Amino acid sequence: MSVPIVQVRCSKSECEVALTGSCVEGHDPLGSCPFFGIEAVAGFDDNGDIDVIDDLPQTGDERIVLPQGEPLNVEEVDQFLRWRGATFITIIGERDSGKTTLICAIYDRFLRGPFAGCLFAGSRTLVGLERRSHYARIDSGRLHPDTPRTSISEGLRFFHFAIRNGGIDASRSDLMLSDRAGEIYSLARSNSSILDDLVEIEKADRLVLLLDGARIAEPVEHAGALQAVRQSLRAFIDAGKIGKASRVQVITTKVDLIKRLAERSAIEESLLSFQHRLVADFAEQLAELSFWEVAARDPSGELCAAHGIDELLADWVTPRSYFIPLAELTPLIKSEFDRLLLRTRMGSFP
Amino acid sequence: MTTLHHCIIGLPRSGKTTFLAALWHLLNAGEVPTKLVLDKLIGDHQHLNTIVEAWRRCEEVPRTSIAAEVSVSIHVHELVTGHRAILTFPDLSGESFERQLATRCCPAAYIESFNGCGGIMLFVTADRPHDGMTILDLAPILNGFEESGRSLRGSEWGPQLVPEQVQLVELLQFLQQPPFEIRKRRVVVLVSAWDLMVGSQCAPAQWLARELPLLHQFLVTNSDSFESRIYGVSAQGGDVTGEQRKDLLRMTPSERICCIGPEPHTDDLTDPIVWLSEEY
Repeated sequence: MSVPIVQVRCSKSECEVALTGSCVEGHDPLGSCPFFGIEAVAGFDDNGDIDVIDDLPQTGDERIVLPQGEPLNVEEVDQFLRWRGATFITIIGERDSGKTTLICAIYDRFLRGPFAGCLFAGSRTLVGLERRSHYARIDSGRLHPDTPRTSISEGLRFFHFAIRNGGIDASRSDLMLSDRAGEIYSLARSNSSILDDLVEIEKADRLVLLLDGARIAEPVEHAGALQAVRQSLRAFIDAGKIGKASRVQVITTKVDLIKRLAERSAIEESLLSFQHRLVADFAEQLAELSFWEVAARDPSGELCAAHGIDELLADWVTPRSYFIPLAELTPLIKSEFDRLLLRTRMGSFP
Repeated sequence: MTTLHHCIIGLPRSGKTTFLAALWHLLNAGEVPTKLVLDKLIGDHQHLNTIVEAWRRCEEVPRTSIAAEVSVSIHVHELVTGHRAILTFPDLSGESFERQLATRCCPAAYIESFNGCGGIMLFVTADRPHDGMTILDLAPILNGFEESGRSLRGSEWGPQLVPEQVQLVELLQFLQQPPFEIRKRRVVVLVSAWDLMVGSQCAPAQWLARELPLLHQFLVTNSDSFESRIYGVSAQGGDVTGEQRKDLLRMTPSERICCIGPEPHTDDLTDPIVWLSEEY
């Protein structure tokens, strides 16, 4: 006989959700908190209902812990890198700009088949991807898709995708997509001392700056959204966190909202002008500065699901060589070992 | 004599026990030619004899509960090569796999079973509901819901809501990391209730790519870990809960069984096991 449980417990000792019904970290709804309900380990009965595991027969057998499938922290990523290399996609954006939704959209496409000419080859973070995808699913009981917010206390996490680009025999790419609360990035562009803690910026193989399309579509938010991206880019360059080897991608999210507006052409013109200014002011200081637009889930259906994300993913899994112009290296050449560089392909790093 | 331990993976109601019942009848009865035949009737076959009774009566084979999990052994030899082997299969409850995914741990014995000689039989069923549907998938219907002021019954996230194909990929991914032995394994994907697909012109591999695309991609892209074959299996021969049961009862029991795979012109349920065993 099993007793159904109600998952109102939290693994954080300071959280009194069981008493107050409120999450100490402010998660609403409660299910979006990664610590909520963790103490109660769920099993299943024949009807698929949740049961208490304690009611299941205890075999007395030694039990071995398996990988948790949650987003990876820095130590876990380091452990992964000792096994194989990975491409780091650092996704920077304000709160609600669509960072996690972008990641979930890629996952959702792979659940349906090959995507962007790529095949799914595995993920160390399937549980995390499933948890983040829940509010976009019918099972959540919602009528409109949503994505749980990433909380500040979660710190820096990475979602992992292993992908074969171009077919079964193609080489495997491992992508590590960063996820961190947008509030931290807002703070960082106001206070550059915080940047030293944001290790994902220097580590990025692609630095993705999200321009929130929902804010762009709102006249009152429009200028602020543009400035947030520009200021972030400038702060990262000025602090030396990105430079001549950095590939920066500015992505306008939720473009379906912009495309539906009567003043669409004026907004697109403003965006174009903004892009030109970024190129004029910063492109020379970077290896690459490119502009993209995506719509992860257009509720009207006018744009296909994961609109624009296929091109982005195809770019992420395309290997790039890091080319640093020789002029940048010359002052560093002091020894015979340094001079070896001059006898290679003119400073072209593999 | 080789002892091969073929492991079985499958969620509840995926056809694991029914397959074992049909296999046991097939090997015992000798009603139709098969590549594998029973070598010796020795050992404890109580579980197999229990489940095969229901199968022979064209009744639903009782599901294995966690408390009733057993390992069965069958002494066989291959007709063509004369190769003898003891095949052991764990008849695990589907709930055991769900429990493993929910608690993220497993018994040490489970790991040992995968580290021995043998392949993997992974069960899915063609008689399955759609899972993992998104709100966008049903947007036109949901718009009507909203206009009429109705709401949907939903629940907070839990491991029981993870789509079947994701659960199966996760169970296979576990095998690619310690404490499991890192090596290449043969996997047969057995799509049960294949009688539902008769007349569809859909091959089992095509069905898998269409219905469980994440699992299909995972198998084809991890050829360094898994060498796979996909079979459509009807261990009962049809729906034993409806009108068809009367027709099935009139048939020679072994002739009810259907197994479609890459081998041409064969309906032999032992084909997948022969392929799993031939690398040892």
